[in-house]
Amino acid sequence: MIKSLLTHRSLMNHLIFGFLVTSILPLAGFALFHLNNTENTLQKTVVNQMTFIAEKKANQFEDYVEDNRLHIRSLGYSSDVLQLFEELQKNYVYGIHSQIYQQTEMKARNTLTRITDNFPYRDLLLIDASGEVIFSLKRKANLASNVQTRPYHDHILGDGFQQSVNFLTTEITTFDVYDPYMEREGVYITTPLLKNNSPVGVLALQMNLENVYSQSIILEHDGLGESGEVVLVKESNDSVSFMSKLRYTANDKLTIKTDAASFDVKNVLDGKKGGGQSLDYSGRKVLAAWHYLPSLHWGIVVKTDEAEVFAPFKKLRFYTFSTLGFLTLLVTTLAFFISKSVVDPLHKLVAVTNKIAQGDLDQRVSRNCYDEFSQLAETFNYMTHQIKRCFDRLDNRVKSHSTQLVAEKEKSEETLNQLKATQDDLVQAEKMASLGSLVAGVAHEINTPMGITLTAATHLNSKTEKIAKHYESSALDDNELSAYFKLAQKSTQLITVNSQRAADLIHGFKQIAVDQSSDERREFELKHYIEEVLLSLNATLKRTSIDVELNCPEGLILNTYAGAIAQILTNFVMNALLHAYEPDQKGVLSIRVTQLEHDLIELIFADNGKGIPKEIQSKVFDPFFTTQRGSGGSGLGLHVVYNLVHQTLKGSLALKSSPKGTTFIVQFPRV
Amino acid sequence: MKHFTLNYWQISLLILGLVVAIVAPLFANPKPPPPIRIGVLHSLSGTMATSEKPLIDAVRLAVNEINASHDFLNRSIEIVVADGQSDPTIFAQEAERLITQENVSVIFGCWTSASRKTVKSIVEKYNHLLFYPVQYEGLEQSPNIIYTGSVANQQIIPATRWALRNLGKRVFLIGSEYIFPRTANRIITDFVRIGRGQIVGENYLPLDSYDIDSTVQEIEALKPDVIFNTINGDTNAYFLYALMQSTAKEIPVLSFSFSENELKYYPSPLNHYAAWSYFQSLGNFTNQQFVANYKQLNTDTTSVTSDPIESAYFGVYLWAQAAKEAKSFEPEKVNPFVLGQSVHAPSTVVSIDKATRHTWKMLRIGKAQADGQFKEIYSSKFPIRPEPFPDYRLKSEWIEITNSFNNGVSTHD
Repeated sequence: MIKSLLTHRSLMNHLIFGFLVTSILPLAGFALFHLNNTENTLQKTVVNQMTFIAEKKANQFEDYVEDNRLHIRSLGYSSDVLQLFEELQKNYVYGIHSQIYQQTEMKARNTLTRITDNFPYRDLLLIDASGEVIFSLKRKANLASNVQTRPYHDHILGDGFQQSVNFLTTEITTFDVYDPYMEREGVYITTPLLKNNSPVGVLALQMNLENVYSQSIILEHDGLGESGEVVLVKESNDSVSFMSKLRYTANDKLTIKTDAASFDVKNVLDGKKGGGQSLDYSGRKVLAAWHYLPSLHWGIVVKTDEAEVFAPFKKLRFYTFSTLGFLTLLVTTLAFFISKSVVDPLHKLVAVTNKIAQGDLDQRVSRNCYDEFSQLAETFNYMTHQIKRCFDRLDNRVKSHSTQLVAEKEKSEETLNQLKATQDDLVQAEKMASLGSLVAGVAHEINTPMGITLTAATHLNSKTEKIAKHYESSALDDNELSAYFKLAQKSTQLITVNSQRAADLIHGFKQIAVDQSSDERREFELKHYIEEVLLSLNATLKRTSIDVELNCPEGLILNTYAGAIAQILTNFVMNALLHAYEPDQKGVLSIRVTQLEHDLIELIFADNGKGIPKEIQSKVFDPFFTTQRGSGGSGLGLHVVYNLVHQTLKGSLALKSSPKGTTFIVQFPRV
Repeated sequence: MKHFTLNYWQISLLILGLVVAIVAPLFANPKPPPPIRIGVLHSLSGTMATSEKPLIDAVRLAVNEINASHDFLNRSIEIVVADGQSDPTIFAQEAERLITQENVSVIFGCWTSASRKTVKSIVEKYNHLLFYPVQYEGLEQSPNIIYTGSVANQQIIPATRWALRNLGKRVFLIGSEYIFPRTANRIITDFVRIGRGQIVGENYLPLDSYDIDSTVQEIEALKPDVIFNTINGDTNAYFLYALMQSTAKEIPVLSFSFSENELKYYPSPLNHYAAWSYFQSLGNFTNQQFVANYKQLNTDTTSVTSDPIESAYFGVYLWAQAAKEAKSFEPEKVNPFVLGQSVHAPSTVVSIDKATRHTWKMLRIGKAQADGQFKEIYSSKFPIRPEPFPDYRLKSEWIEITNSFNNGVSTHD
């Protein structure tokens, strides 16, 4: 149907199609282009914003860590702290349960609590140069243990201690499970306590990174939407640990293989920073931005669900398409009605024109809302009016002429009848004439042999009477008798020959008339039949130096008038013998038969005689036309052949002749 | 009169053709914008040429890779090479020329501290940007320089500690006469003391000198547990060769300015150690690719990579990242964006410390092998925070120390 819509040259279809193409198509194109743009822009904008947020949070985190580090560093320089340390060191040797130690301990606790009051530290430790923990603000289990010996020497506090006491730097340790009693992750900042640029001990503060987790500043997801989240990740030994509490999983200690980590996590642990699409740890599709945190070798990832980000876009898309759909419907309807208002008057015009064509010249076209159509209607009507006038005028003239014509018609009819009658008469006359000429010819032909016969018979008769008389009177002598016998011979011969000739002529004449229905139609094998016919002619051929060649395919079955074929062949042979050669001339008659397409048989009879001169070639088939009237040519042979070929065999006959020979080509249907 | 009429389709095609003709030029690929020019300022001649020339290749490798990725704000990078001729005055002149005449967006260059100090004045004058890839004594923090080489707390201090624990406590110090060895040895002395070691001797040789006999004899006599070597340049060859002929040939040597490049050309004693953040022998995938690509750059399979080469290489990447973020190539605009940049370099994930403008770097100790490589025998767990002014002294104290070196010692480099 679409195909028909497209190929059908209907104006209506074209108009509606045109409307849609020019109004809806570009609109749709623009809409799609803009939607695509919007989607990309939206994503870019959000990712940019998130990259900014990620950077901000990374900075916050680093600043947080750095602030604490610097604070602890300055604590390490504080003379108060140093003094307390030396006192504690001095009194530590008495044991942590000794009174003097405990007094010092209390003093230290007061001061140090004040100093560290507002800071997010879980515990404060003072460690001497050998690794002994000589003070713990919260009096934790590691008091009086040695961070360089078991079981702590391998742990992060030991690492931090080493770092500070050996390299004199203030550093934050890595994250690790340390505190066996609390079973919570620990991280320390350690700083050396220096005297004369030499380390005498280490101040260690256990960080409370709970603040980092629950701290609104770092992990708050404002600006990241409803589904937003900030994630901290760390890598160790080919696996990734999530260091913050996760929103979308109940698993508190989620760890995955680095290889299995998502694109953003992999990137951030690779030191890269950036933003883009990714899948988060719970398989949600998100837009994420990430930043590397060098102080802890962690990464921070901020993310929002894609669904949330693109929700307004999806809405926009839905509205755009709905509006487009609605507009398309509107435009199509409008187009339909406008097109209709153009096409209807055309249809009306067509109808009216049809009616006019049928003959009703009183039809008129009505005016229309469109100027152009009204103009057309007016001029069309005028044209119709003019035509009608012409017709009326013509009509009258025709009427006046028609009576004239009727009279003349009758006259003509009469003349026609007369002519017909005359024609019939002429035909009759011609038939009579031809018949007459035929009869005349026959009569003329017969006349001669009959004349000769009569003359010879009469002569013989008179001579016989004379001889009889002489015999009676015994006055017969031998000479007269032998002369009489000679005469009798000659006369009877003449009579015989000429009677035969007359009989032949009559037979031939009969044949012309009868031959049309000579024989019955029958089936026969051609080659065999021709051979028979040739055999019957053998007697005649023997007397000449003429040979006959036959070329005919075997097994060719015909279903036609065999007699006609025999007659034709006979006449051809006789004709050739009579006309084509000088007496005793050597020659060859060739009969060639071929089967043509459309079931036609072609029989070619050719002689190599002297040929038929051009002037008479057209006459040879006429009845009684012969050039050998004196030698027994009746002039009927080829005429009979002609009739037999055309009327009996329903075939065709052609003649070709040159001084080298004559060829007759007969073609006729096999059945 | 024959009417020229267009059917429906012909008109549509005509309009379409017009629209395409008007719109197409807007989308046609415009002429590519000119490439961004960056300056590479190193010694192509003079005593430092052997050390500095490979750094140009390092920068070139990074630039080729960035250009090939077509990810640099639709621009390509072009290198402008300048020859400092191992002369700090010429370094400064060339830096000025690169900035004012060649209009480069950034300079990657310098090796010796002397050349860096003269160029420092220039980049500060023009508010330009220099990336300095070589390990040095620290005690500097210019707002127009990014330092991608190690400073004392990332190399010297932990290496000293390691040597005291693993090689021995009696230390002999030998170095070239200029600020880096002087400052380094000062710091080493502090930590030898802290580590309860002992400095048994401290000698300084002028650069290019080959008057090493007396030093070697001294070493033979003292028989230290370890020799700390801060010699720079060809003198290294003479000294080490002489050492290897002496009775002291088996004494471990820890060199601070001796990399794969020097190992290629200079003799190396039996127990020879170096302290760097990077060795060519590092087996991680990023490094393997880096070494292969570097070798292919000059189609020289014998070329070696080293810590300064790696620093120069990743410096370019850090700058490119900053420029992309800043969406500008002007040095004063790019400068703030360089801080905080991080990248996965062949040695580790490196990042520029915001506070100090230096780079977080690993510390690795490697032992020199006969095949010209260093085998890593110790490594820090994580990249170390840079402290150009080591924490254990006040900044003012350090400046005083530096000045004392500058005053009491010739600054001829």
